[in-house]
Amino acid sequence: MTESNQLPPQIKTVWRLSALFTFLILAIVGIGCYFLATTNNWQWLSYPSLVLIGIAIIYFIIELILVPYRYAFWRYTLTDDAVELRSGYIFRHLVSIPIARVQDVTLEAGPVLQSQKLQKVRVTTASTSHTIDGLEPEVGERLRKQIMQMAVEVNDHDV
Amino acid sequence: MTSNPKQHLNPLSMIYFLFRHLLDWVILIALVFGPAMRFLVRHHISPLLGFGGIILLIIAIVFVRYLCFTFEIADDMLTINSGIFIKKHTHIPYGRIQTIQRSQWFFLKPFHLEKLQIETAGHDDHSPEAVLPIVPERVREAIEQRRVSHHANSDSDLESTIKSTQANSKPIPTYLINPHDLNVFALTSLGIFPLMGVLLAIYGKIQDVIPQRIINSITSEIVQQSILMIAIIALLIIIISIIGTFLTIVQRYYKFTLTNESGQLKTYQGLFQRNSVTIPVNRIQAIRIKQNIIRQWCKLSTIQALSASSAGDKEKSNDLMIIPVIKTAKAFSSLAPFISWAPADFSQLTTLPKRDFWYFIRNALLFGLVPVAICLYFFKAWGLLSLPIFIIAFFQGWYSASNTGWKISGDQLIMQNGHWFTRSQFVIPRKNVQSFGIHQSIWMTRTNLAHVRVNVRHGNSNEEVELRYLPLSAAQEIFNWLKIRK
Repeated sequence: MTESNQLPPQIKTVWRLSALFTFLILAIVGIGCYFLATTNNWQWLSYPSLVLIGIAIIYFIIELILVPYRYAFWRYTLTDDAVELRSGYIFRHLVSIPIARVQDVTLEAGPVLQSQKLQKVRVTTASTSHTIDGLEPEVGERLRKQIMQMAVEVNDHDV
Repeated sequence: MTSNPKQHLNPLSMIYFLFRHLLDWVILIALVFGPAMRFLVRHHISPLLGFGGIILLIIAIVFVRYLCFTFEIADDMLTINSGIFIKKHTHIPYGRIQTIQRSQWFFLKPFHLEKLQIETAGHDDHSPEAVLPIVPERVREAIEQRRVSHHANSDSDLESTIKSTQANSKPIPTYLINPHDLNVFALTSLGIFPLMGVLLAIYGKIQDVIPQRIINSITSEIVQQSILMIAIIALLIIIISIIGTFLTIVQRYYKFTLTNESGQLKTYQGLFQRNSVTIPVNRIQAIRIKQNIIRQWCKLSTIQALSASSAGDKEKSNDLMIIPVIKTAKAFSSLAPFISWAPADFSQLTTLPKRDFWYFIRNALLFGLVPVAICLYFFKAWGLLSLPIFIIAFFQGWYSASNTGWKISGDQLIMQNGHWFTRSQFVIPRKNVQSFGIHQSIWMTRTNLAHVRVNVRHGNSNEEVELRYLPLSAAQEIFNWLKIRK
């Protein structure tokens, strides 16, 4: 299994939903503040709250535009001894994590990920931490097993 | 020693406990002072008696704390028990100890007492896992002896055990700092600039404190000699700064000694407080050779070790000094007896072609644009005085570019970069690279350039070593080499 994999397509929904939730939270806070400002005639609060609403809208639009871009260029590769993550087109990143250096793997899923039947995978080494935003549970489980097996083979991490 | 009873600290530790929490006690007394006074007066108790009682109580608490603090040097682990109400037991297996730090004030030396700090690689906290405030020197000896024997046992191949016993019969490699080099080192510290800032601030404060009347009476005289006065004050500040940093550095690295005893590196340093750090050689993640631009001209280098412990130089965040100052030409040959995997000599590094220097200079100039723009906006024409920033930025960019270099040598990657007129050369064994990556913007694909980033464990976090604007082929070569599994 050495070919590059795209993230599952459901991840686009996950990104859009999380963007929506962040937008909603920011917008609710902003609108609430604006409401308070107008009812109590608090000049100092009205402009910041408008700015906050503006930021929320801009953030939401940018996030939505970025979703297809991010999806198109995000790749992960599982080789026998490394995890490779590749992302971006304008700013291209290629990161490799030797499995022998991995300290622990965390699989987690919040409500949004659960609704799409995905898991977030976090790979931690002695000094860095890398996240794959969402994988199907079988893939995540396979990754976990592979890493654990390697970790048993390499018993001394020398940190 | 088969019996390992619980031991107490030296009774003098009570003074340490008292002073460490002195601030808390003072705040406590300040808070209860008013109510307590009223209470005492109402009940016709002499205030002296009452506060004597509080002080007695504090002493009693300190004493109980001392009684509750015990440690055990068992055969396989060190156990520390502390706490009055919340009992805390810390167990540290000898094999997990990263560094042992000891500091000994000169007045404790005759009593053979010292402070011990023991750290593991766990990154829970910024403070060491175990602190034994004042204990006899034999405690450290006992711990170190067990740690060494633990290492010898755990090494499956007999060879290293034999080697370590051979090493005992051979003279122990030792390095002692050269006083002349130390003096030059102390004089060439860039640390005088922050100190100058502090002195200037103090001078400003003093001016505020002097009564206006005195200033007025003197002003008329000063005005005539103002330039002379300013010059004298500036000169004084510079001289005091230089002397200040000089003395700080000299007293800190006074008689710096490094030894290698059966795979354990040990440093001793300091005039008033002798500090010592012990670290197993195989726990060192990477070596950094550092020089600022002045020391580059003086041909002096500093060698530091990166490890998963935050022991070492307190002010300079986790940098464990191996050799504070050495003639650059002798750097690697002096290091060889201590770190076996270190290269024997300075390698000729691959450097960037001159035409790539432009990218560094451009970025530095762009960074310089920010303060210049701010100055121009706020001070209008006077803001033009900030233009020299561009000159500094230009040289900074040139410096970074010309000091960028790399080499793959045996099992190690050598990376060199320059930041803020300080050159750092990293020697990183492949097995200690935690993760690595190539980064490139779309514009760099046209010019076939890429950044390489390598992550190494350092202290409780990560040290990212970056080489910028490498030719893509070189970047890929490094990347592919790092991918090879032994």
